[in-house]
Amino acid sequence: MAKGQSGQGPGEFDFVRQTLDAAALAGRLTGPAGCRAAIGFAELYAYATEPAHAPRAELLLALDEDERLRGDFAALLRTTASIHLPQAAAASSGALSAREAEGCRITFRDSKADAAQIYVIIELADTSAPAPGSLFVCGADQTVRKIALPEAQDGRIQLLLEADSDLVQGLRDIDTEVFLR
Amino acid sequence: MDVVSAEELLIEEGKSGELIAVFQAVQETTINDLPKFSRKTCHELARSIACRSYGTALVELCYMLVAASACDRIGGRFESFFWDSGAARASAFRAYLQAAEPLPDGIAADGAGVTVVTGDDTFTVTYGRMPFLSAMVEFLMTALGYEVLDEQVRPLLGGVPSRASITETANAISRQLYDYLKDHLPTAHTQRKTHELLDFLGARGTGSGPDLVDDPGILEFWLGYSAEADERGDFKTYQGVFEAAVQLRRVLQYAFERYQMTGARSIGADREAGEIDPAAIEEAVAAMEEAVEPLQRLAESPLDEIKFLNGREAGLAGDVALGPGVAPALAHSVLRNAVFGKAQNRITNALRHGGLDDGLIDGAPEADYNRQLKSYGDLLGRVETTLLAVFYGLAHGRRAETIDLVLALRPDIDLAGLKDSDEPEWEDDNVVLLHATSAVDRFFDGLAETGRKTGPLGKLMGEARKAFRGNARQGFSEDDLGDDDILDGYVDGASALLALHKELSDFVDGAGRIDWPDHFDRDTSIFHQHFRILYGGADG
Repeated sequence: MAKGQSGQGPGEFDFVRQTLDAAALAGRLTGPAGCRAAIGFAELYAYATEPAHAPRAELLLALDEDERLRGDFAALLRTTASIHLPQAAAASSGALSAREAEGCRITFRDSKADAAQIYVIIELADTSAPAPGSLFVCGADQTVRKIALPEAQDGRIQLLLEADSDLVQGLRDIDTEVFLR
Repeated sequence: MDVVSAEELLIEEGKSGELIAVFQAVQETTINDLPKFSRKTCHELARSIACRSYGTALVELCYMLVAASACDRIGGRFESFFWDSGAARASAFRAYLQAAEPLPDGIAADGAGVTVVTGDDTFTVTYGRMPFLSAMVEFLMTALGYEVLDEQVRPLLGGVPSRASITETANAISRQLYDYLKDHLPTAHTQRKTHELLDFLGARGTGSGPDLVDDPGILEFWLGYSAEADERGDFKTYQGVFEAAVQLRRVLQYAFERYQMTGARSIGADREAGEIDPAAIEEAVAAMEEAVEPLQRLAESPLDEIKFLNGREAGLAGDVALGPGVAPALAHSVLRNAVFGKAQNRITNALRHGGLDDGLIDGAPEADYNRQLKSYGDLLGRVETTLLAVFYGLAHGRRAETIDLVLALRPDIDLAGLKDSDEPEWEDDNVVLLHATSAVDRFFDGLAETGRKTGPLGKLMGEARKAFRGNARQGFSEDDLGDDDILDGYVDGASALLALHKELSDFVDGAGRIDWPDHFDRDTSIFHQHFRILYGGADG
């Protein structure tokens, strides 16, 4: 192999050059970014699995705008949620009065005290299993809404919500999917 | 020498932005407001990606996913292991696996890690490796997406798959990552400055191996190239050239030691064809980073809770703690950088703020070489005193590491007195262990004797007590001695301080044998003349 005056061959200099390039690149990856961090998976996971997790505005915005992130979130809910209520049957039309899946039934009852409010009643079939702490409504337009659930009483969770809220609208929409975790 | 155009660089910047944002997310991941991944883990991940040496790690990750899935007896899912186990530390993963026992047949957690048995093969993922694999999976999920990866790893979940299935999955992820990096990892030579320096020094050819980088070469390069500011890179500051030279020397030193870089051994699979094993590159990058690890460790959490060094001392240490053997070999350059490199920084700062005058260009630097060298000697004394204070704290807490520190501080100390003369010299391993424990007890009992100031240990303890009580810095109060976190910090800090002490003493001993005034006078003339060329001035 040809050698330079100093005794190092060209291949050896290549090794040194590639090492320097790799070191510089590794330094750039871990150095001051100069750009905004991506939405990390850990943050997405915390939002999907921790009822009390307060999402950053950046996460909610990214869920609105980033199709891949929305797909990831929906997939995460499908794999980690204890109960999944799929889109209602094609025959259904209008606002649902109840929706049901294996292990869970959700019904809606108008509030007598306030016509603008509605009770959402979640009945869980397996009262021995840990009750879910969060409810997610995923729209056909890929929007995601989350609400932390109060503690279940004898397998029953009751929420009092504004009847025209996005969440209630979503729960009663045949095109949405609902996840309980 | 490859020349990269500004346009190419812009394209590279755009490509890498997303990747950098992903890394940023990994580094910013927190658990209970504390970083989930240590700096060391993040650097290890960056090296693996930058060198494209992740192949083996992905195989390990796939075995880890099999074990993670086994921990979830109901759903067979892997997520909880990685994202519900707290900060990514070996101890956290060990605890998680222990809590999941009994694990299914074919998967077992023991003292070293978790073992997956596939047919006649066994594969162990150690607990120590798990934080890195956790960071890798976080990176993959963020970069490639959960949906894609979940689909990819399905064959690994809910049982023990065949070895072929595990390897196939690792290869599939590797291909996905390769495609992603093809679009996001910059390919241009990013270290043009160091490449240029390497070419210059190689052509100069006055040394071999690490000695290719020497004091005259660094100065010659700066004098010859600093006035140029073209696409080859900016070499204007002596400090910038010095830093590039230090980095180059570290790589050459590593390559020389590891591969006897004289043409006798090849590096990687097919060097003649220009192929270099990515793992060899990663190893070299890791060695370069480790060289400056001690000083960085002292400045970062959790060790920054203890004031081992103040800001000025850390700055001085940074001049010299360049990696084992580097500062003594480049002693003249270290002093040039500390004295004239800093003088040049003052000039460029003044230029930036519109306040440059001839006084800055032609004025005497803040210190001459002897005075600068004395500052390093004083720092060495300070580090010794801090080590004594740390020794006192560890001895007070009866930490086993105290004995290692005694031997490091006083290598010639006679500890024969610790041996109980009545005890027989048992050969049996178990008995020797008890014997050793007893010696450790006697060591601490001896140190604790009130007023004991006789003998080498007693004398050392007296000095240590004085050093501790004379240290008013954070982390060195009597109250701190009861804090286990502080004592853990002393243990970690001691290893970093000992490494720093060695570098400082090697440098001070070597540089102390040189007669510096003549060098300083010559350099003053050279630097002033060149500052005038670079920045103008009375004669410029």
